[in-house]
Amino acid sequence: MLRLLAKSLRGRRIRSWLAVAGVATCTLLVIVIASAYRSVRKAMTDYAGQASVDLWVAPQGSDNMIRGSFISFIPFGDVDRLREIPGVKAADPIIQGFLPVESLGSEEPRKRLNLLTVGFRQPDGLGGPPAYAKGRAPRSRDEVALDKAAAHRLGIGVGDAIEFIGRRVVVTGLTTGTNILASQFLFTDLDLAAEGSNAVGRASFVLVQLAPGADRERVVRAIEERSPGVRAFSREEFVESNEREVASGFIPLLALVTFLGVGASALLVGLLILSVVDERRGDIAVLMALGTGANAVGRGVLAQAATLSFRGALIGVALSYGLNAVLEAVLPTIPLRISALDAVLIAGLFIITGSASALAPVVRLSAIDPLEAFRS
Amino acid sequence: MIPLVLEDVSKTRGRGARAVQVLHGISMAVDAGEFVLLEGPSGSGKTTLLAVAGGILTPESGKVFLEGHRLHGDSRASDRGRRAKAVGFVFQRSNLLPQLTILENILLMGRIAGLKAEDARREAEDLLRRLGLIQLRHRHPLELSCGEEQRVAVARALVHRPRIVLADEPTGNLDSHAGLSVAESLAELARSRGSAVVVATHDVRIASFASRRIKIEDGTIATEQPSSSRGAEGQALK
Repeated sequence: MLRLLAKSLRGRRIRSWLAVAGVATCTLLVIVIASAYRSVRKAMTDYAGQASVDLWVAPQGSDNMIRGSFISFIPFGDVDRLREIPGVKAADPIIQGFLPVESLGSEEPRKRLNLLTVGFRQPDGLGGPPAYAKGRAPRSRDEVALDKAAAHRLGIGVGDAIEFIGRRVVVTGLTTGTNILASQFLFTDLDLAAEGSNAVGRASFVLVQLAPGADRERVVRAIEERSPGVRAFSREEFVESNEREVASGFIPLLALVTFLGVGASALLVGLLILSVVDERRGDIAVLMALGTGANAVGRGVLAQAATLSFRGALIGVALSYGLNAVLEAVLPTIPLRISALDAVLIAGLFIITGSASALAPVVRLSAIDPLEAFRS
Repeated sequence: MIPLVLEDVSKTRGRGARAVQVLHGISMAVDAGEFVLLEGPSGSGKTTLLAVAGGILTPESGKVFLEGHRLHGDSRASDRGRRAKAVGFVFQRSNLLPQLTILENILLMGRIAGLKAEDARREAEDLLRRLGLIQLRHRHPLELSCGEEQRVAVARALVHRPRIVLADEPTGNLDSHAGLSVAESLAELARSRGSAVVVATHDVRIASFASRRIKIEDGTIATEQPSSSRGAEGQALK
């Protein structure tokens, strides 16, 4: 009976589909923002969470790669002291900073980007690229690897040359998981990056690999005792700190967009249901005259709102996967990492709020007099 | 059990200075299988009487018994359930729900009355077959003529085999041929299902199907008489 009731109170087709389209668009919007957040968080945690690195040693006051460590450095002398600590198998410095690169193609004007540059000990020192989409690690000062989205923005590929810190370098590899939306990673020689950053002989972080069986806590204490100006973080702590930093930038935006999107979507569904209750007043009066209770009619109306919201949310989820595929192929600079759980939760949120938005119009049902069915 | 009994029913419509007493102490009973005609000028209280009899309006005084159960005494929900099971309504317009097919319109009434889905479908298809509308069952009301729509409304009123059908000017919006067809359908199907019928109408052609005629004037029963020409007149009109 509920199906027939809901069908009997269906709104006009075009309006209904407009409401569905509105819900779908809002769902898509929220999923896109959530996926961008996931993607940036993943990029930061993939890099910071490299399995070969057990400890991140940072200057005091710096506990993540996004904020800090651009003006505060660790002297190379400290790196040598770290290597001497029992339980340390390897310790490699990296330096990071935003440095400009420029395409060298025939196109004018040349494309120029500021990339999050990581200087590491080439070719296999700790802190190199987490994964390659194409090519190989850079092996000299004249070679770099950069994120594939950055390469797309510059219009270059493996084997092409770019201008970096006033010199011509060749791109040997395109990396993945290194796109943080606002910028992308570039990996280069440690000394070259230090020169470009005016930080010769200093490191942004020192990455430590422990010897098998080493006591991590003991090594951490030893590092902090020998170098009072630094702090050592376990890989997990450093990842968590980076995640927190990304979240602090994204979550307010995500919350705002979600709030606005859910509000707009609920308004659309609520307005449609309100128009149904107002325009189908005569039919509702007939249903009541025939013996349908206001509660049952209300359930029919709510079922309609739930159906519209469900369709909209489902289409929004489908569109987000479609958009992801299109962006991946056409515009990889916008990274979307859609989490199925996020999609389900967001769709669920839209379905619940869309359905709830019909509650206010449903209250108006009580004002409908079944006697209206007798009036011609 | 007598399907419908009204005892000294009075009803006022409107409020304050605009309040008008529409029914004044009406008492009547409708036996099983009866076809009762309510006649009277516009504003005489026929529709209000049907609405009170069908449990849609609550009288200020008096009692309404539907199948022996007093309406307006228990909760509104139990009144509604009783009314849905025992009463069928036919309105001046068909009032079919435009989003549903004609079969679904009839099925919905069956479900409201508490029939199981398969029983409702069987009854609905049987009625549509008898009305010659079975081939139109998947059409929507707007695809039918006014006469066809109103015949579907008759089927809707009877799908749950109610004890009584209350019809308010069921032929008021139809031409003479369609009106007669609807009246025949209502009389014939109601008789075959053992349902009593109370029709409020100005249409003299329906009088030929009535077993009793009640004239309402100013909210009271002015005259009440058995209809002598029932059946024969109906046949003649055919």
